[in-house]
Amino acid sequence: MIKSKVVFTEEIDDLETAVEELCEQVGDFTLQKNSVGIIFMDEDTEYGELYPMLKEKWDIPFVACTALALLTGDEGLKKSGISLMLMSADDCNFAVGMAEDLSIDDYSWKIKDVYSQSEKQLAPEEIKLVLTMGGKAPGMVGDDVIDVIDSFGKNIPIYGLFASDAFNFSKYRVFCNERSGQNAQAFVFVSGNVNPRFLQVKSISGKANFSYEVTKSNENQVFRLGNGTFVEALEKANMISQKNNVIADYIMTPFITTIKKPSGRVVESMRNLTFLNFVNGSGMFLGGIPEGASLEVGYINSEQVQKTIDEAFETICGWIGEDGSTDHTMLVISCAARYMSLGKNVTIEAETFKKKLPGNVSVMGMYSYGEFCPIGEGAEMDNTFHNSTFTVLFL
Amino acid sequence: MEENKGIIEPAAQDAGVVDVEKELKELRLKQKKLERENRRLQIEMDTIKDMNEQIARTQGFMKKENQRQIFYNTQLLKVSPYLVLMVDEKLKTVMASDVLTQMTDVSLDAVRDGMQLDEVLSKVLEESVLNSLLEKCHSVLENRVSDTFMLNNYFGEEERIYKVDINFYSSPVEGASGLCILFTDMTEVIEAKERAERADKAKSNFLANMSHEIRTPMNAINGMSEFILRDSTDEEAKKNAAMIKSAAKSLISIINDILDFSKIESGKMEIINDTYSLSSLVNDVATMIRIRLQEKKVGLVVNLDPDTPSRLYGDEVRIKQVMINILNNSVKFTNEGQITFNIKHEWDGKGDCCLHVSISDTGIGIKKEELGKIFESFTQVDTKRNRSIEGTGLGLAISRRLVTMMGGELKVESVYGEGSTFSFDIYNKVIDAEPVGVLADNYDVKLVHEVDKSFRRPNARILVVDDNDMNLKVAAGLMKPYGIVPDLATSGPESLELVKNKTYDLIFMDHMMPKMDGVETMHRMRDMKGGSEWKIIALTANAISGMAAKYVEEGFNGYLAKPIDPASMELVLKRELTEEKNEEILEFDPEGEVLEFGPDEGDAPEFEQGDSDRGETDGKPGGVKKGNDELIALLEEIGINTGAGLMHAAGDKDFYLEIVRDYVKAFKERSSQLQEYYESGNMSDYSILVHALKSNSNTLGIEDIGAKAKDLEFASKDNDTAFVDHHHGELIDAYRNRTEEIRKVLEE
Repeated sequence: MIKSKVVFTEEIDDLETAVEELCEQVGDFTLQKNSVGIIFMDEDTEYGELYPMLKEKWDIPFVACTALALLTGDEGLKKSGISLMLMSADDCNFAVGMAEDLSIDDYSWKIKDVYSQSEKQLAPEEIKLVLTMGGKAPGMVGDDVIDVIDSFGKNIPIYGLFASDAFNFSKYRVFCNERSGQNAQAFVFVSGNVNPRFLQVKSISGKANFSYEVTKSNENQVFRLGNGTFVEALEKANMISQKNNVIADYIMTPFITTIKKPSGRVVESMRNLTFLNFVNGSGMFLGGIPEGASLEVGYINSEQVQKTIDEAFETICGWIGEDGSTDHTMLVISCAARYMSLGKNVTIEAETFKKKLPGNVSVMGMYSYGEFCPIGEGAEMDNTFHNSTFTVLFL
Repeated sequence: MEENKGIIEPAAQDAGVVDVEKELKELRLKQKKLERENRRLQIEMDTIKDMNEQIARTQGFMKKENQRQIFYNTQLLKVSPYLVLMVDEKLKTVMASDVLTQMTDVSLDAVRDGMQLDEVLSKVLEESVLNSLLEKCHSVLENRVSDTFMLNNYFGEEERIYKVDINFYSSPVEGASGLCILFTDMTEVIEAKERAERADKAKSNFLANMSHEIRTPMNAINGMSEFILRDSTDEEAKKNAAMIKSAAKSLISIINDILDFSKIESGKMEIINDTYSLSSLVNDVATMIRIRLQEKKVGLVVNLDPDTPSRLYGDEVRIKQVMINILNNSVKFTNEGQITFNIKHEWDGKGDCCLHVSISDTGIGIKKEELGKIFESFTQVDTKRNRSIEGTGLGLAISRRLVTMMGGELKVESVYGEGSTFSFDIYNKVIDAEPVGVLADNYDVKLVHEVDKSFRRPNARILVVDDNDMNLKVAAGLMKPYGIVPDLATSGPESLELVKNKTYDLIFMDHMMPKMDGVETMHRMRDMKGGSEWKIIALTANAISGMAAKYVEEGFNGYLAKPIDPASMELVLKRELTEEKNEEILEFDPEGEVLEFGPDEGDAPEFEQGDSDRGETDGKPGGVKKGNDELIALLEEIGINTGAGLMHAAGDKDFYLEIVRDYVKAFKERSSQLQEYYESGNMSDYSILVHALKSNSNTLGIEDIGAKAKDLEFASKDNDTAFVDHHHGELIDAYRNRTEEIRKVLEE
């Protein structure tokens, strides 16, 4: 059974002070046989300095990433700071690794390498859960990471994120122990007595009358919708700006796609549009959109977010203690798009969880540029990459 | 010494520096945080600006779309002729079509604001009807299953009938759900349907009752025209009578179709089951079609599964009618190739036997898009192409209905330009499971009759009167297996001479003969002493239904259709020659003498003697059978329908080849005579001679010449000199070439 402790400091410049504060909050929480540290932090945090200090305090592996904003069960929403989760168990084991300097040509074998090494490390135990945080490499999409892990055919759930920054798209980073990278994917492989549950919340309050079949695409680049180009479809609906970089424009009107998974099941997932190419009429998204998928435009409003988050919270409350556990760990990853779309109501999601869960449930989260969260359970589970989605890992 | 004011002590100085440094550090950190915050805010503001612009565009699009949808919906409700009501789950109205305002004084605004359904409809529906509707609405809401029902309601004095559809709807996004109720006024439609049904029934009843009234005068027309043909010497009148007869025959066929169809439609057609012989049924059908195919170069192949039970219990007449209808169609639409008539069966030894019947042809086929129409009544497909092909368009419609009445389904497959296959299955009880047996090997045209070898009448005195030598020869040949050697006469006067000196047990009298036809000859015989007791059978090509009775009425004892069917001949002989006479054998020597004929008046060509014995026959039974088979095969190869020929020769190959040789020999005389009649314009004799040529040719299976001769026979009878002029030379050339071909085969 995994126990965890989440601590937070707003101090990101004076790291000595920051680490002291974190230590103080950890208090008498005792690490068990196997542990791992997960860090979400402000983009300006000097991880190179922070890591040795943390390592001195707790000699355990660490994985970390930058974040637009943070979320903890005690503090709620924080726009800056360092949050640390110490995850520990006697009957679980953790192996960490990072595939670095990824490109479209080599990501597959590099990730497989990391997986294989960790698998050996954890042997004879089987990997039961994969936590991952990555920096989106050029040409790669979140679906690529899923495809690699899924290719092992072991139906292992993948939960994680794409690291974020303060919308400058140049300062996001991921870290694994002393290593860091931007085009990289860090992993925590968990074996042993772990029984994860997942939740995804889309909060779409409505859809525009814009619905097409994707007739030509390549990974995350959509060329044609129906009989025309992607750009033509947007122009026809007058839902287009004349810029190329449109990552911010469609935050509140994300695209909804239905994708057929290899299992044959059809899942609905959100996609953020990032770039428009007026030469070939294509649009690029943060996640993959295959040919034959449908594409619609939805919109988010805060009322719907509130409603759906409340429903999610109720569900989670129902899970507490269900399997006889006395302690629970939650990771909450929400999309940076939702953060922006909520505007003045930006604290809705965080406030829902802040101090409303029992003390034996520790919660840590962040706002990311993409979420990895499975849809379905057991044999009917499909690992899926999302945008504009609120996700929960419940242990 | 005084205290040094303003001088800071070193320790205090150090502490101050540390404080300043600490403060500076804190200030720098604060500044860093502020700058960071500032940067973030700026980025957030830019992002929000972009977002808001896009939201505005999206909202603009959605608003426009919504307005368009609202407009469409409004238009739909405005122009819809149907009353449509949408209500929520509490049966409160949401919207309604404009028709409502025509039925009640409830306004659409009030409807949109939300009125209870019963309040809206109470002004339209009677209470009991309304209650029933509300009950159904509650049921649909509860079960989420749509419902459809009919509703009768009085609007003032007028009763209207509505079809009501209640459908449940639910919108997950908006959270709206309720019912959509559609009222479709069916009053006029139902009234029109009832009117149409009444009219249809009246029509069908009328037609069904007209059977007797129509058929009676048609029979009279047919019979009277036959009399004119027989008795009149006026060529013009005979020509007209022939046309009337032909038209009457067509009309009878059409009327039969129409009456049958109306009988079926009015439910008066019955399937009357009885025991029947399958082989007999197939044989009858094949015979009929074979006659029709004489005019065409199309083969008929009959494949009857030999294991099929021989006697079944079903409606033989209707089964035959269906088969003939379909086969007739195949004949009509097939100009070359063949028609295959398959009968298979499936029977597990108990229960009914399933007959799988299929008829395939290599005809013109049916276009794919017209396949669905061919079973419709009064419909002919591909009319542009098939304009010249006659028909009421009822045959297949009737056949389909009959098959359905017999528990089957008539199906069709076709490839346009290549052919069609019609098929159906029917189930009949088995009366006799004994297999029907093999009809014939490579059955091509007709069943070959098996002579009843137990029937022998060597002492019978038979006279055959026919102006056509081939017919005489065939008739004699058909009697040979029974030991009968008939006397032969080639004209009426000749036969009258013969009967003066001899009393015959049976006389076969050809109908159509020059100068004195068979009817006149028969009457003269009847007038002779003892003549009223003589058995005289008409030989006629007039094998239409009803003529048997006419011949009997005329004074004959019966009739035999030409070409003579061996089985029919046997039946007549058995019927009329009940006892074997114990008299001396007639003076004729049965060996060879059968080939000699009595004196004629010079009209019939003489046969050359001698050649008939050349090579092929040596008198030894079975000794030259192999040679005959080869010759027959060779004749088949050059296009002679030897199957038909053998049939007319009762299967006797020797005999068949003999009369083929006679045919060849007769060419010179016959063609010369034809040429003479043609050049002199003697159409009357020309038609008789070409009729004989037709008859002989068809008898032997030389069907191409038979067909040409037939056309010229009709033309010459009609005095159509233009046609004769155009085609006479063609006939002579074809006749010459054909006999030359046959001669070469026989000589080889």
